Amino acid sequence: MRWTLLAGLLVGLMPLAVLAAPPTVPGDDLPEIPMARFAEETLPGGPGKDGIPAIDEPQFVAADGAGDWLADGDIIFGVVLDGHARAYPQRVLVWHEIVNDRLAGQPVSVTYCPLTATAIGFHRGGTTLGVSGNLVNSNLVMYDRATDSRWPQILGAAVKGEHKGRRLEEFRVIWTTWARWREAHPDTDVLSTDTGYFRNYERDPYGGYNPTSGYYDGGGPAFPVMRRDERLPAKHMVMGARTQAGAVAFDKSVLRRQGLLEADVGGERFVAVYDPALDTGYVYRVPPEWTGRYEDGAVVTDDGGHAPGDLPLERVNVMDAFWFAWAAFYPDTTLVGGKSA
Amino acid sequence: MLEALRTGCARALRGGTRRVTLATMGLVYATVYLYAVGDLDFGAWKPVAWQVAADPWPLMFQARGPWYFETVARLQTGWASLLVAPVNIAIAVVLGALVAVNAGLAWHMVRTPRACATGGPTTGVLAAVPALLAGSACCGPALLLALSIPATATLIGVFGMMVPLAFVMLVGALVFNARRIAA
Repeated sequence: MRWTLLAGLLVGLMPLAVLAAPPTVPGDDLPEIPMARFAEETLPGGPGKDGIPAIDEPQFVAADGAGDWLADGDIIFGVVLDGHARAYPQRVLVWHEIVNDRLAGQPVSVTYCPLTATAIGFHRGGTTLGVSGNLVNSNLVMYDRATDSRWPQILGAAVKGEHKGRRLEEFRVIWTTWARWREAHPDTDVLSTDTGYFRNYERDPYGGYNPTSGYYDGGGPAFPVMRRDERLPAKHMVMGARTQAGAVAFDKSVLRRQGLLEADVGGERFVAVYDPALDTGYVYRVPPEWTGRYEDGAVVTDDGGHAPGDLPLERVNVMDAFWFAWAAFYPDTTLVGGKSA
Repeated sequence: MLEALRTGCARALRGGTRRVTLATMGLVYATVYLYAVGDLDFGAWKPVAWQVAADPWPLMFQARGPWYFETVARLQTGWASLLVAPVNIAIAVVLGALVAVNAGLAWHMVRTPRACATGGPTTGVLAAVPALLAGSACCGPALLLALSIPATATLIGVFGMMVPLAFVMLVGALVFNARRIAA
């Protein structure tokens, strides 16, 4: 009787453990590198676990409430979920790297790694993500508080722990300026500096983006990387996407200039389209017969003109990144631009 | 040994002017330390403001990095902004006091007549330099980033030991030189 009750209790409690874990998908777009290798190459970054504290109780203000501390040219990371627009200022996230938020009723984590210039959103389910204090390829290694699995941000997959080999579900985070985001989403709210911690949010410990300076303005990675690729300068910005077919990086400066770039990756065809309103790009998987041209900030196809973010095609998640970081995680990446252009 | 320490320090710290000078030196060191770790900052003028965390006690001993602790309050006065992390301030004050006492010992040894044969000036004060270099940015020592030197696990470990290393060296120099003065 006693053992029956105990077994029943354990079975009854199991769903709670499942609910607490972050939602994951199979890691079928991971590079051809064993997860254990990433775990071996993980280094301490200086601060300990949660030494860079994630924001767990974020507060937000309306757009006009941020005017005295957020300049038009400041970088923000913009998210739109179910019609709800929200901006996360880089000058706040540089001190915390992760915001565990609830947007449009969905539990999400908006993450930013200053050393690799990557901002990615993840669905976190019933748990929260934290900063482990470790880095791989100079990239933030997150941990989930349900299982303590370790997730390098760019991979979005666990390299250690219960979820090893599984990927987090992610969503698009747009790297743009505060002025551009407000113009495109006048009803946006914005993460405030009321984070629960005291920091000099006027200062970026690494440099700045308005204008670009310090660590962000050239030079090499701060920590050793698994592989260097000289096709582009280390801190050149690319827009990277990874799928089952493989990884592709679009040189952002070339994308800005040409408006539309194409890539063949693993037998599949992808296009990147530049959006001048937000100074960002969107990547789509396109059928072999698809044709289109870029004209005055829009894509013209057989069925008319489309805004860059609204093509009737399958959109693939894409992130801004420093080239050195993208190439280190995806050494077989296709590069559109750079020395191959 | 304690008596020798007490005697040596008392001789080295004699005199009102010397004490004021050394206290100022210690204060300057503590200020530079807090600036180096990022708790003290200077920028555009802002009115005086004071903010305290709703629950400072759990925050106070939360480590942000090796020998670097969380902030519980913020003080803004004009061009200066101080993130008040009591443990960081305590470390700065202790190191500053050790620097000041070591400087006093060095001063005494330089000014003592050769007939007393206390030897040359101490370089114990230089032991304080490693602690200033330990100031960390979010993800690695600020010095390495500023010099574009790739960090390695070994370097990170070395920087993590800078504060205790400085403390040990300063205390060691103080004991050694105070006993020489007392002899």
